[in-house]
Amino acid sequence: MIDNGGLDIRSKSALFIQFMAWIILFDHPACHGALGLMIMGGGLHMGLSLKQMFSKLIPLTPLFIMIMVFTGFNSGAGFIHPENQAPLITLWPGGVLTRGGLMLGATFMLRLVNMVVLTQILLASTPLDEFINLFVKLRLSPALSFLITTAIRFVPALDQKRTLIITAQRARGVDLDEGNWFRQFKNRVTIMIPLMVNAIVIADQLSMALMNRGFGYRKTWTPMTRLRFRTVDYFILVFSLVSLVSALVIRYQGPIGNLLSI
Amino acid sequence: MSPLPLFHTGWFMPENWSKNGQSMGKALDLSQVSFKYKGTDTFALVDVSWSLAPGECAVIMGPSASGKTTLCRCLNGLIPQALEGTLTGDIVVAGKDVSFFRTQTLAKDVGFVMQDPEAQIVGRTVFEDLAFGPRNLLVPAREIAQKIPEVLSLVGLAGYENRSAADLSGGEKQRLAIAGILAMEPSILILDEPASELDPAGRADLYFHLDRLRQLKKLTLVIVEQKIEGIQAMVDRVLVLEKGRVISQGRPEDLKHLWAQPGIRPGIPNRHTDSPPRDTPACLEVNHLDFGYTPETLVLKDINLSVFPWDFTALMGHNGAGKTTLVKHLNGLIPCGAGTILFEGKDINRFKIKALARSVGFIFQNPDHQIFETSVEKEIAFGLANMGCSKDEIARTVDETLEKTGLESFRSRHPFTLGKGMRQMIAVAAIVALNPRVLVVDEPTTGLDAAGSSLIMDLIQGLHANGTAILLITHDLSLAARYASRLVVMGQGEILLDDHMEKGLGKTDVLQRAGLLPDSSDFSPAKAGALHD
Repeated sequence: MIDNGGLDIRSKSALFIQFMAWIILFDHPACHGALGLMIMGGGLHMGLSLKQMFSKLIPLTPLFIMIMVFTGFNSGAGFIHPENQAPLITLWPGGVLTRGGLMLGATFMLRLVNMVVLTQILLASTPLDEFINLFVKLRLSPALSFLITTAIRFVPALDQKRTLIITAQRARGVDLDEGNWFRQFKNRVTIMIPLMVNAIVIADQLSMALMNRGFGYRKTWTPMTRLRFRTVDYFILVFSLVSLVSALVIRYQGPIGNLLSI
Repeated sequence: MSPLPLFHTGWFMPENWSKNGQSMGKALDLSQVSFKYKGTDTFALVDVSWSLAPGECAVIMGPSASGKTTLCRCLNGLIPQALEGTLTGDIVVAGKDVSFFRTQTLAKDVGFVMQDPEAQIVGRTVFEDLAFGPRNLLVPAREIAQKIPEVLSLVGLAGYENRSAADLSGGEKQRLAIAGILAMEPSILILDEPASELDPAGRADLYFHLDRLRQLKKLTLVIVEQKIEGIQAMVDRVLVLEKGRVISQGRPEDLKHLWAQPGIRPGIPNRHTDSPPRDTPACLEVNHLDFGYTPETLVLKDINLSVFPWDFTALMGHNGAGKTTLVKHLNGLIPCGAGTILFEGKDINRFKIKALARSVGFIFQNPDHQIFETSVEKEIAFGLANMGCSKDEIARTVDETLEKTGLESFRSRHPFTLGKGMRQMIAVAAIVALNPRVLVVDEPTTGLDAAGSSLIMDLIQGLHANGTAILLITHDLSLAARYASRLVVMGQGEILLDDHMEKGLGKTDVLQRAGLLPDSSDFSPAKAGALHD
């Protein structure tokens, strides 16, 4: 079992929001690198392995490479610092690799990585029940709350199905990586159609299973745990608020904001 | 369906109310029930009348598409409350007319465990999952917390509260699904083929717990099953359906003559009994294969296995013995690490995916993982086209395969408009068309009736007669004894037994250890034969 650090879901959400604010507001890759280290450290502290945190990112590797390449050849006109506009390599007229372009590419990549890992940590360290309790506190209806949390559960179930379908298609000779991009796209149709059919079947069975278990019997249900604030939660709330305000001030009011831009 | 909208909530209905007042004292009572799903022309149930007393155990049997699952859905109110269609007749369950109560309200009295346990598990941990039902019924949290250990011990999962639901074995998930329903304390429990994916020992264990529950809690049990062997002692009533109609009902001892009918029990065995010639070189050789999904736990330990042309081998073992992991190595679905696998003397790591797929075919349990084309003939043609066959060759092979499999009249139909048995047949046909040298078949008959199973197995036997080596994974000892000439038994990642079928069936200690026979059984080859009679 993963230790959730004993934090209340509300303080976890506050931490999540302030990290997201830093991730979205700033463009400098060093800033994202530092955020990434903090997030990773938090994940390790909560008992997650590096594999648990980063395994979901492996399929996105080609996307990361494309981001780096395409953004690297950015014209550079929008960069604040002149040294970032200077061309490093010119491959063809207009095809200029700039330092700023590479930095922006790294920023986009790290931003995605940080967002995915942060979400992964939140989901892995928080029981569904706590999410539902939070939604109830936010006065969302239990049905809507359960819809959201079931969706969170539905994705891993579908992912398992995807693995089974890929195995079945490979067994009949479908090589997903064979041929040019059009051929590869065509090969993926053999995965997509069974996946869609299975998604409908899973959804249909899940809805019947929920009714069998009395879901919707009344407009409310029994809360199993109460949200409870401890001292550390107050500290984290204050920290998150200060951090959020600092992020906004630094970004829009002052010289450090420029330093954290490209 | 309801005359008064308020009745849907169940608030204004007295507990033992029924329209005709005849159902008092009966656990369930169906009177002239017919049902047709919306958008279909044929009735799924026709004029079904049936009743059961409280505390009785009934088994519903019949071939595929005979209406078994539809009847279960009627009993817990999914029909007519959630699934649209035309319903006539009266259905009164636990004193409530299902037309007037929502499924959620009926769930207090009627629990329904569906066929696929995975689809019913909604919690991340066992505790979360078990609490879900009672929470919906507004049972106080303290009561739920007290009830869960009790329910877990009833299904043999004591101490599992904090286990991750995803990490449970197939049998444990099945028992968790049952526990999830029991936690709501219904008086009637309906189970749709609860043991279809369990090994024989797991099946015996499940029914032991169900029988105990019935005695302890005075539960009324309604169980959909393809076979009644091993559970006759606990069954009070049997209902046999065919094409939606009740063709027979009564006590199990009065209906013994029905077990041998096609569609209810397998027919007379017609196994090819010749010993495989071992003078020819093996087409597949596995040498010292070790494998683990994690470095700490080996799933396969020093596996040595040779598959010869003309072999018809049954690969058996308990759930989690490593059978599927082993066969996935044979056509490169899991790369071979420690050890070697040779196909006709060549390391399979040197084969391309396509070439290996043509040499070592693989039929999976669930046809819906592979079907994607818009017609039956295109689905069969896909593998051939993917292998680079010419148009003429594809057309000729598709025609031959359609004829051989009896799918000719469905050639232009969309596969997903056909039933599961038919889709399984299409999946088999698509692999048969490739004419592989070795064919691995993983539980091809799960969820199919005896007639559907025979159709699939006869097709595989036909391929074997043409020289293809067959490796059949199954939990069904009688199916294996009927078709296979060689028995390989796995347990805890090791090969425990590799022998001719007749000799293998005599080694009851190994079969028991591998979960293929319940512990108490005094199984013998003679009894294996008797299973077919």
